Amino acid sequence: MSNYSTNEFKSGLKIILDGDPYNIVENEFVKPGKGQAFNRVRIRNLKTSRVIEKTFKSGDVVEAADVVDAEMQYLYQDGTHWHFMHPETFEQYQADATAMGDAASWLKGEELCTVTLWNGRPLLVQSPHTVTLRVTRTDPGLRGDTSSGGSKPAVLETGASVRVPLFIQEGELIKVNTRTSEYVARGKE
Amino acid sequence: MAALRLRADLKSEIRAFLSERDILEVDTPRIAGSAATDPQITCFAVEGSRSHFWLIPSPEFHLKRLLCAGLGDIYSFGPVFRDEEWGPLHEPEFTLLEYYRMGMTGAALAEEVAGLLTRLLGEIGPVERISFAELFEGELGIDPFEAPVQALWERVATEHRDHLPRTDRGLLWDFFLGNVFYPRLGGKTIAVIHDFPAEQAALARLRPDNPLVSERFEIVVRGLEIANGYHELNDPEEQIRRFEIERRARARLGRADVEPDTRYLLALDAGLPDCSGVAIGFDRIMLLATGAQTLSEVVAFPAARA
Repeated sequence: MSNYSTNEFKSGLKIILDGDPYNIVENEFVKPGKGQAFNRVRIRNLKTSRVIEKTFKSGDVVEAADVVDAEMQYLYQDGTHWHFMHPETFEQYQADATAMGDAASWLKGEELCTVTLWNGRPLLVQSPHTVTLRVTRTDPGLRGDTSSGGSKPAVLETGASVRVPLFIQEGELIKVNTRTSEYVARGKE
Repeated sequence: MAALRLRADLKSEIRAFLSERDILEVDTPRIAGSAATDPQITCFAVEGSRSHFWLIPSPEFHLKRLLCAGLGDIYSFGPVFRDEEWGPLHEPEFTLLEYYRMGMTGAALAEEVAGLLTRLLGEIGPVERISFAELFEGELGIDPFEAPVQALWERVATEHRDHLPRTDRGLLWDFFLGNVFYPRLGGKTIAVIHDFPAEQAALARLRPDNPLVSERFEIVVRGLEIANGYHELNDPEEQIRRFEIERRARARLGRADVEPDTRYLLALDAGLPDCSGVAIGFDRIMLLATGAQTLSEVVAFPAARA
């Protein structure tokens, strides 16, 4: 088990507090000219994404979190878990629904995702920034209907719902921003 | 570029202010044979081929050796070095103005520094004197000396206290000062905090009428600690006791032991005149003058790019 001293604190460092892994978002050194120094940090809980503030006495030691990000290919879902493969080691990893979060609704297979591993197990999965998916259900757009701001709901092949422009028809491919759940453009095969 | 020109202008202005008061600029060495015993300061070591030195964390002992030799009012204006101090408001190398006034009280010296700051920065506001105890009573409603240490700990915001020890009064004092009180002080005034606890006297005398507090003061402007001053301790016996207290504190904190500066003790034996002295962070004044938020904006080469 390795440790970090507060002297090594910087944003991006991964630490363990009360059993949970955290990412240091911001580290501030506070010291009266004569007196004890402190490190005030803003840290993000990597399980819940909640950001909290903490103060450490400078010189304190905290446990390092074995957290790494890896690009992995999404393979399939077996009902309870989503399976990923590391493209270089060919090792396979299983992520549960908590780790998947929103990412699950954008994946159909073969996408490259960022998988955050904690002690070798998927902690968090981020889908690609944009994905191209087929529209499986949407009403035919009515020309001149501007009451809904020129958009209508659509369901995609993964089950995700997004709003699309009126001209998009069932069976078409569209490009979607997964961070905002917004339509970006028509997609290509 | 503009900041560097302003630096030069403000430095000239400071030298003019001191010269008008017949305070003599002296050059003291940047490498010293002794490190600081202060448990919260780490000096950079310099390995020479003939001897081992330390980069000075302050010119204090060299200046006082000159005071003991009878030089009168003097100042040093130059770089000092402290390891492990990195942050928006801390650079491991920074520029310190330190000066001494014979026969002056701490309160009078604080007034003089307020005058210097006003000359450099324009009208800031009146001097507002607040004692260390009044600061705690005003902000927390408790007496920092008498209240149980647990009560102090409980006043720390929940999310910040769980990694702070519950039984270390000195540490909690530092926490409140640096993290909570100072950022709120000196908005429209020049705040002078005085009567620091005897435990934090550093090199100040204890008050003869109340030995629980010392004749040490700090000056805070717009939330920034700018200066630290003392009615200087000149009793060699008491100085030896303080060195030993600091060495014990270093041992407790697991820090390397530091041999006290024997040359300074010898000078004290010869006699340090009754005087007050103050150390002023010039780069922090630059922050006030420019509105910059980090020291790296007001020096040409911050340590990360030195």
